[in-house]
Amino acid sequence: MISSGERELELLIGPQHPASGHMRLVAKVDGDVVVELRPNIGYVHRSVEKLAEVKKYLQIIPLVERPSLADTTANNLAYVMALEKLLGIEPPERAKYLRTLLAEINRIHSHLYGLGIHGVMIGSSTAYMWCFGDREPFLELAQELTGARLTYSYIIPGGVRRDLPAGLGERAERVLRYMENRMRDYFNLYFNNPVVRARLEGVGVLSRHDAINLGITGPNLRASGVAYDVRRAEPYAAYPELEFDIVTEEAGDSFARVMVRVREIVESMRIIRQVIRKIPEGPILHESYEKLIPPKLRESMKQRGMVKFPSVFANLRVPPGEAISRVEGGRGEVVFHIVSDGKLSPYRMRMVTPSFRNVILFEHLTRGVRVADIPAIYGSLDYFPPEADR
Amino acid sequence: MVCSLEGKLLVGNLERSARKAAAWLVEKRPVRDIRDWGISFSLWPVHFTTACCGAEFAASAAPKYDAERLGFLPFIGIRQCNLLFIEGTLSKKMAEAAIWVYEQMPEPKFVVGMGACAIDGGIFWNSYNIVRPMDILPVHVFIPGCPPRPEAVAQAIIMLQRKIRRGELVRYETR
Amino acid sequence: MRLDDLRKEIEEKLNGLGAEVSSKDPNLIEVRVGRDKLVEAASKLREMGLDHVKAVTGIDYPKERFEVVYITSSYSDSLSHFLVNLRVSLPYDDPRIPSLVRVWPSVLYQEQEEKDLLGIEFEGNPRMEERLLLPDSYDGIPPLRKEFKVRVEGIDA
Repeated sequence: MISSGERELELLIGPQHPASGHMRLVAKVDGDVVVELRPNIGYVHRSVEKLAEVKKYLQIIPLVERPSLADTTANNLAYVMALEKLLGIEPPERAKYLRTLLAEINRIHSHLYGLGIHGVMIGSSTAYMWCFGDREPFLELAQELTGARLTYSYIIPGGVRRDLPAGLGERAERVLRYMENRMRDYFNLYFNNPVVRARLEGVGVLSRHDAINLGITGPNLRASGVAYDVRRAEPYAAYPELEFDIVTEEAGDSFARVMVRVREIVESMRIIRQVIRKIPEGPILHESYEKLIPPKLRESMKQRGMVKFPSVFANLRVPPGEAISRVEGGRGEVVFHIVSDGKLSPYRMRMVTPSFRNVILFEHLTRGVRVADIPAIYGSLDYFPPEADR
Repeated sequence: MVCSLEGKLLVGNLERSARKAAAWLVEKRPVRDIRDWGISFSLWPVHFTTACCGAEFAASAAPKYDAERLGFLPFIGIRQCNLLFIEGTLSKKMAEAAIWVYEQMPEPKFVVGMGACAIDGGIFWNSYNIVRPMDILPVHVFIPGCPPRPEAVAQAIIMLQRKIRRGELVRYETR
Repeated sequence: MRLDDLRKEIEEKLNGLGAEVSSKDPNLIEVRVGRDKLVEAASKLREMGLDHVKAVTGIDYPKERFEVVYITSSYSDSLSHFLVNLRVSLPYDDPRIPSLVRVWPSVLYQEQEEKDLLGIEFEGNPRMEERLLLPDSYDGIPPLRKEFKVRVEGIDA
């Protein structure tokens, strides 16, 4: 409302708006210029942390996946890694490679999801259609490996749930070659498009100093020139044995953030190839759990290459203590802090997701930009509200 | 009121009579069937993502599953839409917004509850911050699944279309 | 850098603040300080290069104490491998703590969330009056406290 003598208008964007938005942005605008913008989140707050306190340890795996549906593996892996730290077990080598494989497939389709939604926001429906269409082959791969499209619950304490299906390597190679060809089209149509460049370049610049200061994470951090990646800083799963580069860009603007995602897709494809080439033979579940399974069931599971959630897990008791784990997901670093008191459910589970750490960027980057730049900035952050609200 | 129409004299409220006649006609076959058939192939859901099922909702509108071939076009403006998708959990804060959106949509309007959370809370059934959509909105079709696959979304659209064509859902009130 | 070296460095830096420093393999350092020395200790850690906070965890031990853990780390190559936990205990009937938002701007939303869901007052944080995740009309005990019960599965659920 403009009252007499005031120049500022309050503009409410959302929670019903064309972007993937389950949040409200409260913008104070002076003409076309944003004076101040505050994100109003909590529209998808479903109290994961509280519910974790009344669920058993294994029941929490699906629970932590739900908040970030497009990037479930990161949450699944981070949670299980925290549990494994408390339990003091290390998964077998083959399971580590399978975890890496799924994490990288997930990273690719999570990035494509983000790019597609960004396309919608800046009015390029082609980008949305292409990205969502090309996301499907990767979902199919993940589905073949785990049995689900998005909510895999693939990683369990001490290993993974299924072995590599026969012939997945060749099919993955076909998908990767397809994606490499498509990459050229993406550049021709989208990333080198003068309209897209004009909308994104120089918009929402995040300096290196601010990125560090505000604790930004993931591609948004690397787009500002900080070469931080948990896969390097605290290597987990099979990453110590694999070769990959940390993608960084210097500019820190919306275009740089998009470019980091695109180049990370290429890196992830490189990792997938290595995983498929180097994956060792062996068991997929830690032996101390394997021996708890009745011998007959164990044989049939070995033959079918699957681990059913064995009933021994139902009353998984975790020794008292605290554990912190971090994982580099598609959107950034996922941190789990679990406090156990030796009972069947955690005493306290703190889950900090990358989107929650990046919320602060909404108010930081939008000061003084034009209203039309809000979607260009919002989209480039690859912000997923349910993940931030948990 | 007396109106003159091409020299003929009509007695009574012409506007009210015309409305009445139209309401009578639109409820009679075959006009009613044509009307329902038309509505069933122009279901425009409003862009209103309530929770994480939106990821699969978006996939169902994308090339592989292409819900647009069923006359299903996600659209921005509430006033042009006739379908509200409750995509997953409805938090208390979001429920308020959902009611506003629903009330702004023109008649006839339909509601689809997507995902286990929209049915009875799903995995978040005991959360302190959720609302069950059927407590606040008339839901016509539920889609089970967590999240439902895009095929299930297409199935729900087809079910809703059938329901509309059977003449169960669309009622015009004579005013 | 090795874990022990970092631990020694922190011990020297926090000398005189009454901090208990312990370490846990492979990369975790625990620093426990009193509430009144928190800001000082945090500034010292920040000077060492621990430039951001990954998580702020509030833990409720009913009738006994609250604990607030700041999980900090760095984006620099030499320190990014380590996590440093800054831990404070608060009396149960007086859950107030000085905010660290001036030291680490990255805690702004995290502290607001802990206030929202756990009812711990961070003095000096500009967002203490606003709700973050809960609806504005929420009125009751903060949901993450142990006395707040949610329904559980069972025969009579």
